[in-house]
Amino acid sequence: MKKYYDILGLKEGDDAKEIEKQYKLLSKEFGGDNLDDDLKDFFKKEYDKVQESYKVIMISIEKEGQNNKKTEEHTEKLEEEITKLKEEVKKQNLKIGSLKEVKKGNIVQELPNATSTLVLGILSVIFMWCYGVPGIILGIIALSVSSKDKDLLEINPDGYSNSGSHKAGRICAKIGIYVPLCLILLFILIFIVSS
Amino acid sequence: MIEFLEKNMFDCFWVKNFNVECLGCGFQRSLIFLLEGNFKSSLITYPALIPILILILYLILHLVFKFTNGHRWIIFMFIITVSIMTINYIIKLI
Repeated sequence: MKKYYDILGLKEGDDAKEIEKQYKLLSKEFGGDNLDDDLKDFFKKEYDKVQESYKVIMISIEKEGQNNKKTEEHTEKLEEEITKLKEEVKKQNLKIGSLKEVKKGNIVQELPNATSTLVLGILSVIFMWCYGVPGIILGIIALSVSSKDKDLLEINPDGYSNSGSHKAGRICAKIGIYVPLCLILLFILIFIVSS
Repeated sequence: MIEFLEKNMFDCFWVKNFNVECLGCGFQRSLIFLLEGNFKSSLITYPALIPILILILYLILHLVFKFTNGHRWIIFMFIITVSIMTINYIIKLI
């Protein structure tokens, strides 16, 4: 590559404007007419050399530009990934911190809706009259109320003192929903068969 | 109080419209029998009433005193109550 730059009388790393200027100057000098025959051949050779090196240099500069673009895009993507990973690490560190404190016994947390889940779940059995429709509604309310607690428990399974009540409430609510539902389906089936 | 309950019994929606008894039919009659002190007829009309009352009582105690294994007992009693209810209901249907 250096050879071509030497022919044009330039250094490696000069910018495109300078290269073009030098190229025009040289091609004027060597490409001119009104010359002796002895010098003509020499000038022609030099002119060809200048042409060739100019082409090669321009092609290499273009390639470099394309490569730079590609690497820039790549680095942007990598930076995005890095920021995402950093956020995840932060979250995980928070989780680890809370777990450590719980293990030490510093924090005894309570799930906010465990009691209401349990009460609603049990009430769903008491309201099983009218084919369990009020019971089903209460059961669904119990499940929806406890959904936040469930997420909390998934993050930190050992960190809550009343997780038992929460689980019991959910089981009761599910029984309170599915048993009357099954009976309703049975009733519909019998009704269809008999008719 | 018993008289008040006897006068103001809720009609069952299903008996009224479809002439079929539901899961809760007999609950009120059974409660009145129980308030009168007649355990036997209360159990016959609606066997699940007494387990339900025990369950509610235990639930209140559990919420107040926070027993360590309270939730397991609650699940156990709940399943027994529901099975009594459904078995009683299926027998009634047949």
